Amino acid sequence: MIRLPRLPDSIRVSLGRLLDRVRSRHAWFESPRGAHQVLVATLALVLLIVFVSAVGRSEQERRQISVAVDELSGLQSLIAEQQERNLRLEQEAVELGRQRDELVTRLLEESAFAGAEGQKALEDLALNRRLAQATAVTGPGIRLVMGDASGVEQGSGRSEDLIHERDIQDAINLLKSAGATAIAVNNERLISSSKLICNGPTILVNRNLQAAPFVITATGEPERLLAALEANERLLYLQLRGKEIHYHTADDLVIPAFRDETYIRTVTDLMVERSQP
Amino acid sequence: MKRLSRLSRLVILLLCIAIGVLVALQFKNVTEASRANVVDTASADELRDFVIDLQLANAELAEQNNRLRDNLRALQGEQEGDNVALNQVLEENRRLEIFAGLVAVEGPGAHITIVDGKNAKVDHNHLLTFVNFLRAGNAQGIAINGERLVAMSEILTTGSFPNQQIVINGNIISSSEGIYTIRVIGDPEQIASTYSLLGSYVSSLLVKGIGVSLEKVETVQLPALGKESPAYRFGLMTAGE
Repeated sequence: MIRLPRLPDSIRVSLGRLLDRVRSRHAWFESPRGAHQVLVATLALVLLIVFVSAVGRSEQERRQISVAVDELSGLQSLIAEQQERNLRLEQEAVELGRQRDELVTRLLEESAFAGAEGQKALEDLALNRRLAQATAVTGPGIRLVMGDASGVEQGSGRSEDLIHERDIQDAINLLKSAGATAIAVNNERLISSSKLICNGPTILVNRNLQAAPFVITATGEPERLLAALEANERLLYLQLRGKEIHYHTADDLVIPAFRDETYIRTVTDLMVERSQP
Repeated sequence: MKRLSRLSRLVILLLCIAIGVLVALQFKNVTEASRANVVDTASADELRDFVIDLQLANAELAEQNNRLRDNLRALQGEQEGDNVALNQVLEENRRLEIFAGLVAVEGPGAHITIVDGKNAKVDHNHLLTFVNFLRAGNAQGIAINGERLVAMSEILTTGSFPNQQIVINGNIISSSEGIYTIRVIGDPEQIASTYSLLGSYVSSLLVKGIGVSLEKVETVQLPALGKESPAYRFGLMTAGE
């Protein structure tokens, strides 16, 4: 019980009313209805805070994703543009090379001033280009396909289900020992310094990434190449492990030329001819 | 059942709307993330590297085409006695002979020596592994025990332990001392760096008793491919294109 000091009546009445009001509020708060309303209001407040924070976070994430998507799309466009340019430049290189070869041949064959030296130079050129793998070749041979175990999607799968550089390297070495005259992996012509490097699910052949299945084409005596593959235990082992291994002879293989003239210049700038002892 | 107050009903309504909005926003984020995956599973860094490689390749191709145009112009303007065509062919022959391993060459590089152990002999798999790694390190020319490796060179082991022998280009290269010297022309530092990447492989050979060592050499000499070598094969080939 609050004891009020002696105050003027008007003030005592006012204070009395105020106290009554407070008591009535307290009663409202303690009533089931009042407590329910306070609880609902608090929940609404909490929900509002969560909602505002979620919207803010969501907006931030959306902006981040949008930036990433834009960047990836930009890079994709850039790659497509550069690939198109690459194709155009390669076609141009083939055409310019053809025009130059035609002109050189005409000048050396038809003009008297080049003489026998010119003829000899042209014959050497044909031979050297063949041995440097710089001439496309056609002829009989074998086509060997090596792929990952069935059901393996590109970019996934266990290591033991994939075809590795070593598997391809062994197959290539086998074909060379069986007398292959020219070899390509996924149409990438092998040269004296060709390397095979595993790069995730892909293999780098020369300077280009190749994905499974790897198609190895080799010109040579078809029956001899076939016999070498059939007798190879490693290929059989890979087949038994569920990997895609199949091969067949072919009469009309086309193996593209190695055309990276810049690379040839790089190599021949580093190495200098010396007289054989 | 007691009816809910108006305030409660309002709050529940707001709650439903808020949950709906949150679900919609989350769905939008998932869709955008899927779009990001559709663009490419490769990381942005990988794509950037790929773009740089393509730009480099295109710059080289453009330079190559400019050289071809210059050659064409020189040929078109050839006068009697200029020998432009002949000189161009002779220059191309010189480069191709070096590139194809048809002439002896020299340049900077390294020697890698591999020696048989008492109970373990070097076989073609060991040499193939070294050769592939060296090529990955931009080796430009390689010879093993005097046999030049060219595009169609094979490396084989014949016979069985302990009388096995290694054959390259149809010739036995094994020595009675069981020493194999890989002579390689390339950037010596890059070769040394590539060799260090083979550390665990070299260690496994050392454990078996097979000795391996690297020596950087200022001038490495490589022989030409023998003219009698089977790697001089072209009989079955016919020029295409």
